[in-house]
Amino acid sequence: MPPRHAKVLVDTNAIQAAHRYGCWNALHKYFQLETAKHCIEEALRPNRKGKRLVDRNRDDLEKEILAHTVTDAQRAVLLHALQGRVDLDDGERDLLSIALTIKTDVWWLCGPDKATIFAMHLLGIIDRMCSLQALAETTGFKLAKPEMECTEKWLSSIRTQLLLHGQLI
Amino acid sequence: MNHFARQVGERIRLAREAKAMTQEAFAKALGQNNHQTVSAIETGLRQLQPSELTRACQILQQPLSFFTDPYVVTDSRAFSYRAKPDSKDIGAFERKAHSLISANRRFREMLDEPAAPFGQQLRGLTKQSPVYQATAVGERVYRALRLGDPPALRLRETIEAACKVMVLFVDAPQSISGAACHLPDGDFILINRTEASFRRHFDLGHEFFHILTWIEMPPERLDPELEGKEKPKVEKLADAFTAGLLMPYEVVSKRWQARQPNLDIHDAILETAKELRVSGKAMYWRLVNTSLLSKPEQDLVDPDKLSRPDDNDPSGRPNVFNAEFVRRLHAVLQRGLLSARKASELLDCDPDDLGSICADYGHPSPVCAPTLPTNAAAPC
Repeated sequence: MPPRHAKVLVDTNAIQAAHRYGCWNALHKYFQLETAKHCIEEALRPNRKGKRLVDRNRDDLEKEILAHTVTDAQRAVLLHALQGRVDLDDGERDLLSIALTIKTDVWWLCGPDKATIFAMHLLGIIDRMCSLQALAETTGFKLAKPEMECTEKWLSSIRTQLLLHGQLI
Repeated sequence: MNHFARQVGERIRLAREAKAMTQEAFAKALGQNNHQTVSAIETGLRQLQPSELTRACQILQQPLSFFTDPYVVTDSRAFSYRAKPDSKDIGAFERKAHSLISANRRFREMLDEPAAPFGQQLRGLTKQSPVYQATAVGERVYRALRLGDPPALRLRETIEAACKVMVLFVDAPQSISGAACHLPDGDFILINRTEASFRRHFDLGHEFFHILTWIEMPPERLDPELEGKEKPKVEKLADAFTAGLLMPYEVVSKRWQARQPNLDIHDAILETAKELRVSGKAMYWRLVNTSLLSKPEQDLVDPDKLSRPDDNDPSGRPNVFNAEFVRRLHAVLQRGLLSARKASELLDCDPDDLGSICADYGHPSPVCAPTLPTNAAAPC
């Protein structure tokens, strides 16, 4: 598990899940959370039914998380590495571009999505991924009835499938 | 050759040609010695390095996504809409239609499924043909496809199964009834599922005609829903074809002759229309054109009395998209080939709607469906 003050990259799904479970404060105080500008925009955007999934303003959120601007050159490196094998949205793509740029000493908070895990596997950095449940527990926060996709057990099963078969079936 | 390299190469060629730039000029701008390198790039034999790709974006003045995003549809002028002449929704709807069609194409690629071949054409029918000939062709197609009675009920599944045309039901603005899309790797029909069922049936037949005759009679991008003489000839042919397809003479005459005696003429027309799942006006004109409605009977008809409510269709409003499309969506999500956020962007829905879309077709939810109340203010 990442140590205290470690850099942890969080995508839109993870930002929203951490707020939903109420462990956001615990995470941003314990770790150095980083993301892409696109993820901040996506996380703050109401859904199509008009519901806000992260009820904060941008300024407050950006005080708690470092939001990177990503260049086309960084994106090109990622897209070249993935070779079109996984289709991601703009926020996920940008965050993975950052992950490739700062390869060492960075962790990735797993959002509940198989495609980002598969992409991490293809990039050879899947072992830097951690579940929301495990990360929250590192800070002393226990998730109440976590959805399956936020648990360490689920992440572990996906990781095992990828390591054994190279793909998800 | 991998698919990504071929895709980037094809788009390099498209962007270069759009700028009227030769392979030599592009090679020079890219810092290459000769045009063979560009030729190899454009055919996918040689892959661009990341720095070359970034440089290509600058030279060809295209965003990176133009070359790398598999959901960008580069085939030009492939749509024909059935919409009100003054519809302002075409642009937004076209973006939605692009997303769906490119999504299906991409899912098929990722699952390594072949493109649907489609070679059926309507022989002998041209733009100069009289409209009655189109009706006769519609009847021939009705018989060839064994649509049964009433034909409207089996039309969609038959078009999909026998003709390999993908029919997608979508939520579209009221001003748009549907669209046909002809691409080299398959044909698509999009139908506004919020319309009355008899209108959906007619739209489906109309768009089916455009698919069948796309090569001989390419439709205009906007097929305005005009009345009478103003309507373009191809659209008149499409309507006439649909009349034959949904209201073949053998079916209409049998039902018309079996109508209750002494029934008001309007009620009789509406009853027959209801049985065949078409509108009252469409049935009226079919009865007129087949001479099943005598001249004295025609004189009794007030067209304003031929509108009717939607049928209480046992199947109700169709599920969004279709079974094949959703099967592919489910498979690419399950295999982690597509992220839920990207899928929701393509399908114009929220990520947690993907579960209900899949459930409508009997697939388990492929995504996490948050059920907990928002608890952002919880003390940590």
